Amino acid sequence: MNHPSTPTRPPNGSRGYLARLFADPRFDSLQRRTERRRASLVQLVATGLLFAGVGAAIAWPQAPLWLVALTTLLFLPFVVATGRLNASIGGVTELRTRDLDEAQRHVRDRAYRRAYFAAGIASVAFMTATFGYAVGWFTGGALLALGAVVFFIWLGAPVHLLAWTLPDLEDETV
Amino acid sequence: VSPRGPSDEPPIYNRIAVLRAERGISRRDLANALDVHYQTVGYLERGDYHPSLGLAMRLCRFFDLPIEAVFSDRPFEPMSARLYATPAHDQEER
Repeated sequence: MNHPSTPTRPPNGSRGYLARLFADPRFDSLQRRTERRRASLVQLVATGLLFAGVGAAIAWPQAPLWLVALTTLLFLPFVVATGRLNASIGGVTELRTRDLDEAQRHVRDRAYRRAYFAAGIASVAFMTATFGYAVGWFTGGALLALGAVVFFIWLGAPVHLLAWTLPDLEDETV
Repeated sequence: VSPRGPSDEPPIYNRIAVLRAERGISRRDLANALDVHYQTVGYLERGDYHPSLGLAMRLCRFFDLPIEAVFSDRPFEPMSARLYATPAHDQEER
């Protein structure tokens, strides 16, 4: 009788493109603790700028063309900063589960649990704020800004949490 | 986020770092042999992550040692003490 075996990572050759890309030794320098934290801060700034641009374009009646163009341009640093941040954590949140080893899966799952706990609290705060908006405690702009923050926590918190808390990269040649 | 299990989980000690140094194998070489990321070898060596039974058995097969020679639920005594301990010294310790 065949017993079910524990799934393990496929051999190197059959891993996906992203798995092979993130394993490229040229990304190793990005995975030092200081570089990871720097990548996190840069991505936060890029996201803040992008959200501010989108918010301004929404809030401004008949937004001028330069603002729409500037907001569109802000996607470029956002995409680059997000890619750099993902590379700095070895793509743990981007790769398919079967491309991760068991310790990486453990690290990823724990980061998701913690980040989504924070996101749950943020969502409750947002629902409370929505009620506050309905009864006139908050303006629409404040509610929109809080919504953007909650949206960002849902999407970005696991990656940023990993960037700030993963142990420093060790010398693999030792 | 080091991948340590729950804090109330009993510690599992291992001799991976000693065995690796003794045989002159780098983390990356061992990781390639086990098909894990080389940082995972660091997690295992520091006891930050307790391997699954499958990974533990692959490790033991790689070093060609029985599982009790690589993992223990009690701290290992130093290799030198085990190698050079005389019967008289053992008696004294007891």
